[in-house]
Amino acid sequence: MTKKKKVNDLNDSLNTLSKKIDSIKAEKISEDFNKTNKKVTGFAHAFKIVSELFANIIVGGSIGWSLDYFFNSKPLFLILFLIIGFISGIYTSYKSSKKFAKY
Amino acid sequence: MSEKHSPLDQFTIHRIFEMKIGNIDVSLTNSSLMMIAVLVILNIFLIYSTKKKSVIPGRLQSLAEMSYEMIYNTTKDNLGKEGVRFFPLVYSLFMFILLCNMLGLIPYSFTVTSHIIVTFALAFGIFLLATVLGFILHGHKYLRLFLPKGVPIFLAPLLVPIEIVSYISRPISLAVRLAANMMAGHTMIKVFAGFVVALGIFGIAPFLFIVLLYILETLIAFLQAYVFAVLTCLYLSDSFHPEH
Repeated sequence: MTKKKKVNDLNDSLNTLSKKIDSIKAEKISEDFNKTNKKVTGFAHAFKIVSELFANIIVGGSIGWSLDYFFNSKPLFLILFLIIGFISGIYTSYKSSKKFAKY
Repeated sequence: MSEKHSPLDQFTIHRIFEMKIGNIDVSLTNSSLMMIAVLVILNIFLIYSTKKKSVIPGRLQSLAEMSYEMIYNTTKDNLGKEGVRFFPLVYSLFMFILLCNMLGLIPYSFTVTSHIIVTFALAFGIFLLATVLGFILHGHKYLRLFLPKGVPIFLAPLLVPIEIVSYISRPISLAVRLAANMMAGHTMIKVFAGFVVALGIFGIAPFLFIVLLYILETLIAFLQAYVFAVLTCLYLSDSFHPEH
C-alpha cells in the first residue's frame, strides 16, 4: 500500500516537473520568435523610411509641376511643392519612427 | 549579341500568344503567364496542404499554417478585432507578392513585381480602399487626418499641404519600394554573373558572391512581401482611427 503511494507520488512529481519543463520551453520559443519578429520589423521599418523620403519628394514635385502646367506659372509651384515634399518626407519618417519606438 | 546579355534584358516583356479585343492588346505575355503560374501554384499549394488537416501537421501543412498565423497576428495587432475582416485581402496580397518574388529568383523565369506598374496597381487599389473605407466609416470627419486635433489653426496652411503630400505619397512609396528592391537585386545578380564569364578562371570569386547574394535576395523577397502586408494593415488602420 505504502509502496503504491510512493510510486504515485513519484509519478505526480515527475508529471509536474515535465509540465514545468514544457512551459519553460514554450516560453523560450515564443521569446525567440519575438526576437526574430522584432528584427524583421526593424528591417521593414528601414525600408519604409527610405522609400517614404523618396516618394514624398516625387509627389511634391509632381503636384508642383502639374499646378505650374495649369496656371502657367513655371517654376513657382514646382519649387514651393518640392520644399513641401521634402519637409513632409522628413515629417512622415519622423512620425513613423516615433510609432516604431513604442514597440 | 551584346544586347542579349544586358543585365536589364531579363525585365523585357514579350508576347507569347497574341490576342486582340477591338483595338486593345490583350496578348498573353511572359509577365501574365508568370502571374497565372503564381496563382495556380498558390491554389494547389494551399488546397493540397490543408486537405489532410492532421493534428500534428506535416511539412506542407505547417508551412501553410505558419504563413496564415503570421499574417493573421499582424492583421489583428494593427487593425484590432473589427479589422480582421480584411485579413483575406492582406493574406492574398502577401502570398501573391511572396510567390512572385520567390519564383522570380528561379533562373530563366520572370519577376512580375520588378515592374513598377504591377506594384503600383496593387498599391493604388489599397490606397483607394483605405480612402473609401475612411469616408464610409467617418464621413467628412475623415478629413481630420490632414489636421489633427490640438494643432493651432495658424499652422494649418503649412501642415495641411504637408499631410496631403504625405497621404498621396503612400501608394507611390509602397510601389517604388517593392519594384526597386526587386529590380536592383536581379540586376546586381546579373551583373555579377557577367563577371563570372568575363574573368575566366578567376570567375570563381564573383560566383561565390552570387551564392551569398542569392541568400540575401531570398531574404529580401520575403521581407518585401511582409512589408507590403504590414503597410497595408497600417494604412487601413488609419481609416479606422484617423485621429492618430
